[in-house]
Amino acid sequence: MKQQVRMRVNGEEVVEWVEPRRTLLDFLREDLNLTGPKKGCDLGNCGTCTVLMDGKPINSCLVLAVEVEGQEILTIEGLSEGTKLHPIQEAFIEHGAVQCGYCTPGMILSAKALLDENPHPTEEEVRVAISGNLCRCTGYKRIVKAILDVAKTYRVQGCER
Amino acid sequence: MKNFEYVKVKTLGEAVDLLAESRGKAHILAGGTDVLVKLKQRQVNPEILIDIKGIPGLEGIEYRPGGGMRIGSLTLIREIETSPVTKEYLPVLAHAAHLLGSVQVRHRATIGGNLCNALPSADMGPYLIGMGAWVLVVGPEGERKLLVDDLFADSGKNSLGVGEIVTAIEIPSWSPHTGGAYIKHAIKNALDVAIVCVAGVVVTDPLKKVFEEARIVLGAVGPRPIRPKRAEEFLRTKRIEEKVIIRAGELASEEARPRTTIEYKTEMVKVLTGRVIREALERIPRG
Repeated sequence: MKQQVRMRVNGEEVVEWVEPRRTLLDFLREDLNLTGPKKGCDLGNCGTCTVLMDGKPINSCLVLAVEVEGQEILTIEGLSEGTKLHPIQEAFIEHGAVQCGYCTPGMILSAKALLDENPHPTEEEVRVAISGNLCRCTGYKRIVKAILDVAKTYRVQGCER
Repeated sequence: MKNFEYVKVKTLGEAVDLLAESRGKAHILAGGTDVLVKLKQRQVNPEILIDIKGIPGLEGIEYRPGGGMRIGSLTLIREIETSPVTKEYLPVLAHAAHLLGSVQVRHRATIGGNLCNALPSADMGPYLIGMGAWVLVVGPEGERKLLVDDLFADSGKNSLGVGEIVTAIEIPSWSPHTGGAYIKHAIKNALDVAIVCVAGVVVTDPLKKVFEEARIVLGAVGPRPIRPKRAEEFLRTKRIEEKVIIRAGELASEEARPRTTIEYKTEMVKVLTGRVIREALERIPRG
């Protein structure tokens, strides 16, 4: 039996009917066609499904869509302003912090949550912040460098972007 | 996962009634970081999932001068990790919270959920048991209070009756000559489950020469956290010296009951118990 759920996704009001067992991840990918959040392990171990819920990073595979009622979701699709990339995205490109790209959306959102809370983190704090996001290509060196670099000039913006 | 009905309750009474009425066919949902996995793997197949996050008053960390602490069951692990109150008055619990799951998991997982899930490796368990903490429970028969130690029944099984819900955790206050520690031994620094984890709470005389009391709790080496009573009794009234600490580690390891990699885990209990006692001694405030 479907239930109605209302939430804001990337700044837009969304009202949909979903089965209670639908995870937020499947809801975003299948119902809203937002395929930025990836389905890796689907058990909360890999972090590639990370989205921000009211500004906080969570595994969208471990949340039911119905639980998100009245809350705000940000996926990687909502981070850039049109074709203008977010500074964290720019830094990832600049530093070659992307290889296959599968972990990148989650990695960038974890970085954003960190910098919004703590705009000038230490390297250790960056490593802890992304420790729930697994990268199997490169190791984490360039990712950490990109985040530390963007932190030098990072300004916290409105909570929607 | 099988489909179910999702009900978000607004009061404790509603949750208790619904749980009691559905006679085992309902399951509570708090942070969901364990429940969602169990649903997906069909370890639990409830007809009704009762989301308790809408019940007011079940979250928050409260320090009562001289009276210990109270932590609401829905308090996020992230909150326990980062709150200035826990960092000041219960830094070992804040540290244990930091070691649980990942940032993402800690933003959803709750202290009540971690305890009720009752895994022998649960990071919130050992130190709270060592501190003699209680859980407050509401159920069809009213309220009751039980030791966190008694909440753990068997691996993945808590001792709550049908319709019972944990509402808060109470941590008693201890003498000023008390120190605690928690060490989690795992392969990775994040997203990992303890191979062995050990918590310790030690009380000494004011001059820090003698152990007045010691509590040791071993996690992940049995179906539930273990208090190695012989090690604890051995330490009481003993002089604080290295050979005593080493002996306590040996005694603790004899009481561990690991089912896998037995020799390794037993050896690790010996080593980690010693480390936990030394670290706990260092944490005793000076003066």
